Amino acid sequence: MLKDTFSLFIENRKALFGLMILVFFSGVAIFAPLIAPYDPKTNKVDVLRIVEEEMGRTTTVEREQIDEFTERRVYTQSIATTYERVTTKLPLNARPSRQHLLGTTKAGQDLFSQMVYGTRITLAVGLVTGLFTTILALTLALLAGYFGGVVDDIISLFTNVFLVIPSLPLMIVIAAYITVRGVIPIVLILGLTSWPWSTRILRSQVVSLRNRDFVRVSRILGERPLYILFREILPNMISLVMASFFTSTMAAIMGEATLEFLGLGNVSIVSWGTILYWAQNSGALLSGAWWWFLPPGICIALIGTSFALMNFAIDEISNPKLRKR
Amino acid sequence: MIELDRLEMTPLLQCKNLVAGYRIKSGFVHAVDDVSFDLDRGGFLGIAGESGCGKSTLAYAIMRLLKDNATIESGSLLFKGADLAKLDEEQMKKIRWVDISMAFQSAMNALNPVLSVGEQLTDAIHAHEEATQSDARKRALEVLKLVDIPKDRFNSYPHQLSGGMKQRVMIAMALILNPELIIMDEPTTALDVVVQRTIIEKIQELRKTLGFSVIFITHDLSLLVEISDILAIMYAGKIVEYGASESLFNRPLHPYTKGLMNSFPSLTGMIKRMGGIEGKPPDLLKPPEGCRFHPRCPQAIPICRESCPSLEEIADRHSVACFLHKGAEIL
Repeated sequence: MLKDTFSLFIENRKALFGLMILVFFSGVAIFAPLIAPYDPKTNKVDVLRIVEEEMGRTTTVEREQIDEFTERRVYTQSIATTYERVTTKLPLNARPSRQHLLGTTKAGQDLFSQMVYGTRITLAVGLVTGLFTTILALTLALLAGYFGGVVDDIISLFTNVFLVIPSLPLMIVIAAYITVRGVIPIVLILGLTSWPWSTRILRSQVVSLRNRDFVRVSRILGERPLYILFREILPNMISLVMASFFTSTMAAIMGEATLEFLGLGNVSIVSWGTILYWAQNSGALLSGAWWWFLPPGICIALIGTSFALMNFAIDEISNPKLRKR
Repeated sequence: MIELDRLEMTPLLQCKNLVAGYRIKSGFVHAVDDVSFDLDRGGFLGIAGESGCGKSTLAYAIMRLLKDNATIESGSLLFKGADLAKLDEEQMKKIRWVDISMAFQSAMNALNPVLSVGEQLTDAIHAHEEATQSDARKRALEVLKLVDIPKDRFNSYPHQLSGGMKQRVMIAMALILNPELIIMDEPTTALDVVVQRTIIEKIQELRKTLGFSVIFITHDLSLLVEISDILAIMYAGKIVEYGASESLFNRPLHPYTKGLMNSFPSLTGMIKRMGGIEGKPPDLLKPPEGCRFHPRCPQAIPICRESCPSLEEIADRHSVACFLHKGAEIL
C-alpha cells in the first residue's frame, strides 16, 4: 500500500511536481542553518579571530632543596593572545546583490536568511495546525455522522455556531487576549477557529456513506461499529480527508501570515508573516522595496500550489477506479 | 434415531401468523399481515408480489433487520426450534449470516468500492469466527470457485467486475459461512435476462450440492414459477395463494394470481392479448374492509366487502384465501 502510494506519486506528474515543491521547502527548513549565510536577526557581521598567540618567558620563582637527593622548583609561564573582532554593518535597504541574494531590510538584516529561517516556523505552524484541525474535524465528523442522534445534534450545533462567527475577527480577538506570545498559541488559535468547515463537510460524507448499501451489508454481517467506521467508511473518504488536510494546512499558513502581519503574533520570531509585518511597518510598499514583500508572498503561493497538485494523486490513491491498470 | 427423524421432518423455518409493519405518526402500516408459511430443509420458497406488498419487509423481518420504526407486532418465526421473533440482538447476531444469510438486490452498491473482493469476503469470515488470515483466504477462494469466479479476481475491486460477476460475489458472500437458509431479495432484478439465467442456474446448482434452503423474493412471477418448489403470492401484506409452484401455475385460483399469470406471455402457448389488473395496490395504512383485493377484483361478490377470507387448503399443497374457492371444489 505504501509502495503503491509512493509509485502513484512518482507516476503522476502533477503530484510529483507538488511533492518536489514541498520536499524543497522541507529541506530548506531542516537545513536552514547550513543554507542561510547570515544570522536572520542581526544587521551586522562579527568576525572574531586570533591574531597572535605569544608564549611568554619561563621564569623560576622558587627553588627548594628537600633533601640530599631531591630538589623542587616552581616556574611561571605567561601566554598572551591577541584577538581581532571585525564588525561589518550590513547595508540598509539594499537591493538584491551577490552578497545579499534577496537584499536587506531597512534595519539591515539579510532577507534571504530571513526567508530560509522563516520557512521553519511557517511550515511547522502550517503542518501542525493542519494535522490538528483535520484530526479534530475528522473525529467530530465520524462521531456525529456515524452515531447520529443526540451526539450529532450537539456536535452539529457547535459546528453551526462556530460557522456563523467570522473566523478572522475571532482569531484576532483571541490572539489579542492571549498573553503568551509564541508559536503554540498561534497553532491553537488557528486550529480552534478552522475546524467547523472541515467538520461539516466530512460529517455529511459520513452520513451519506453510512446509508450506502455496502455499509448496511457489513452491519448485517455483524461487523463491529468501530470496524465499520474505520474499514468501510473511512477509506471511502480518504481523498476528502486529505483535501481537508491540505486546505486547512494552507489556511493555517495564510492565517499565521495574517496574524503575524497584523502584529498579533510574536514579532520577534522570524517567519514569512513577520517579514511581511516588518515590510509593511517600514513602508516597503511605498519605497518600492519589492525584494522585501514579494518573496514571502510567492513562497506562500508556491506552498499552496504544491498542496493542490498533490491532491490530484490522493484522489487516485484512495479511489481504485481512477488508478491506471 | 427417532429424534433425528423428527428433526428432519420439522420444517427449517416456520412462520406463524406474523404481523410486522411500520409505526408512523398517522398509524400502523400493516406491511406483513398474518403471514404463515413453512420452509422445508433444502426447499425453495418463492415470494412474489407487486412493489409495496410487503415482501421485502417480510424478508427483513426474518433477518430481524427491520429499521427504527418497523417492528414485528406478533406471530412467531421458528427457525430450528428457536423463535427468531423473540431473540435479543446478541443472540440474533450469532444466527445472522452464520445460519441465515442474505443476497441483496443491488450488488453494485452492496460491495465496498475501495476494498478488493477478497478483502470483503475474508472480512465476512473474521466478523464471525476467529480464523487465521490464510484459512479465511482459502475459504474465500473456495466460495469464489463455487460461483465460477476465477482465482485471479481475488484482488479485483468491484468496479473491475461485471454486474453478473458482482452478483455472484454477493452470492459467494452469502455462502461463505455455510448458512442453512439464504434469503434472496430480488438478486437478479438489475441484470439482463441472459445473466439472470446463469445466476439462477448457479443458485439451483449450488442448492443441490450444498443443500441450503432459499427464500427468493421477486416481482418476476414467470421466473419464480420456473425455479421454486413452493410459491407464495403476496398482496397488500397478506399471502393470498400458496402452494406447489406447478399447481399454482397450472391452476391459479385467486383472481389476483390469475391476473398476474395473465400479465406475462407464454412462450409455448397460443398468443393472446395479455390482461392486467386494474387499479393500484391499496394504502396499507388504511387497507380496504373485507378482502383487500376486492376493489380491484373482477369476480368480487358481496361477502368480499364485509369479511376477509383466510388461507384455506383447497387441494394437496395448494391454499388460497378467496371466498370463491372456499369449498368451491365441492359445489
